[in-house]
Amino acid sequence: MPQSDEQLMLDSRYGSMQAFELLVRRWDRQMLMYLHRCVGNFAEAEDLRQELFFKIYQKRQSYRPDGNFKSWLYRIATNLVIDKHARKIRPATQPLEDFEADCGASTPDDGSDSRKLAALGEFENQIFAALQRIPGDERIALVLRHFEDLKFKDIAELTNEPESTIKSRVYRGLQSMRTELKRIGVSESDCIASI
Amino acid sequence: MKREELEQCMASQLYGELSEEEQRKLDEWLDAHPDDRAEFDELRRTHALLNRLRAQQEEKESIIERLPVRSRPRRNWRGWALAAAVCFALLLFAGSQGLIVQIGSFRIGLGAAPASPDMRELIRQELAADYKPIIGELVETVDIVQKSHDMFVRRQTALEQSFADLSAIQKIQERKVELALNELVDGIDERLRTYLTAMKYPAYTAYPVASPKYQ
Repeated sequence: MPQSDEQLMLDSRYGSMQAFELLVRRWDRQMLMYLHRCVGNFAEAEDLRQELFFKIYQKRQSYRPDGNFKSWLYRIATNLVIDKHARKIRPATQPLEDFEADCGASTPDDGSDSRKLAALGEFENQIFAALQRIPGDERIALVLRHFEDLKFKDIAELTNEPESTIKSRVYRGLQSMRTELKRIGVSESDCIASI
Repeated sequence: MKREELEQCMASQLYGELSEEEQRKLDEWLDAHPDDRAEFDELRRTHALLNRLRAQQEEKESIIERLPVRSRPRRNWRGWALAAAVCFALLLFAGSQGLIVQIGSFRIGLGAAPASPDMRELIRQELAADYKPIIGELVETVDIVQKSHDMFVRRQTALEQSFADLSAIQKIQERKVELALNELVDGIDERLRTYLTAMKYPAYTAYPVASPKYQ
C-alpha cells in the first residue's frame, strides 16, 4: 500500500531524502500544471515549481501533520503565485504545445493521435489565453476550483479568506472568462468542432 | 435574495456544492427573474466550456502516455566503458568545480562551487535560513556582553570616583586632626612653659612635645 503524502512528509522531516524525492515525483507534474495555469508561462511556472519544492524542503522541519498535505502544498504554491505573479495581467501566453514539449512529452508520431493532439492544442490555447487575461485573484480561485478540484471550503482555508468571498470570486472569474471568450470569438461550438 | 447571495448560490450550483434548501431558493428566484435566469445560462455555458477544456487536457495527457517510446539501442562493452569514463570525469569535475544533482524538480549542489548562480543563491538562502537563528542568538549574546561591559565600566568609574572622594575626605580629616593636635600640643606646651617658669626653671625652652609629624 503506498504511503500517504503526510507520512512521506514526516519521513522527509526525519531525514529521509528518498521520501522527499517520492513526494516531489508524486506532485511535480500537477504542481507544474497548476502554476502554469496561474501564470500562463512555462518558464515562470518552472521557476515557481522549483521554488515551491525548495520551500517545501526548507519547511519540512516545521511541518505538522494536523492538516491535509494537499491543502498545505496548494497554500504555499498559491502564496508564491500571489507574491510574484497574481497582480499581473498577461496578454501573451506560451502555446500549450511548447509547454507539453518542455514538460518532456515524447514527439508524437504521424498517426491519428498527432492530428487529434494538434486540434486539441488550438482550442486549449484560446481558452488559456482568455484565462490569463482575467484578474489574478479571480484566476487563482477559478483554477483551484475548476481545474484542481478543491472545494470552496478548502480554497477558503488555504487562502485565509471567507468561503463567501471565494464563491463570489469564482462567479466573477466565470463572468470575466465569458467576456474574454466572447471578445476573442470562442464559442462552445468551436470546442465541439475541435474534437 | 440579495445580489451577492445569488451570485454565490450560482457558483455553488455550478460546482455541485448547493444544499437542497439553497437549490430550491435558487430555482424559485430564477423562475421569478428571467434576466437572472439568462445570465445563469450564460455562466453555465462558460462553465461547460471550461469543463470541456479540462476533459481535453486529460485526454491529451492520456494520448501522450499512449505514444510509443523509442527503445534505446543496446550498448556494447565499449559503450559501457565510455559511460564509465564519462562518469569518472564528471566525478573529478564535481570534486573540483561543483555539481548540480536534480531529482524531479528538486536540485541540490555538490562539490566546491555550484555552477549555476541560481543554485548558489538557493543554497545561500538555505544556509542563511539555517544559520539565521544561530546568528541571531550570537548577536543577542554579543549585545548582552557589550551592555554588561558598559555597565561594568560605568560602575568602575563610579567606584574610582568614590575612592577619590573618600581619599580627599580622608586627607581633609587628617589635616583637621593634625591641626587639632597641633593646637592641643601648643596649648599643653604653653601651659607647661607657664608652669615651669613659675617653678623657676629658667633653662626651660619650648621642647617639641608632640611628634615631629604634627609640627
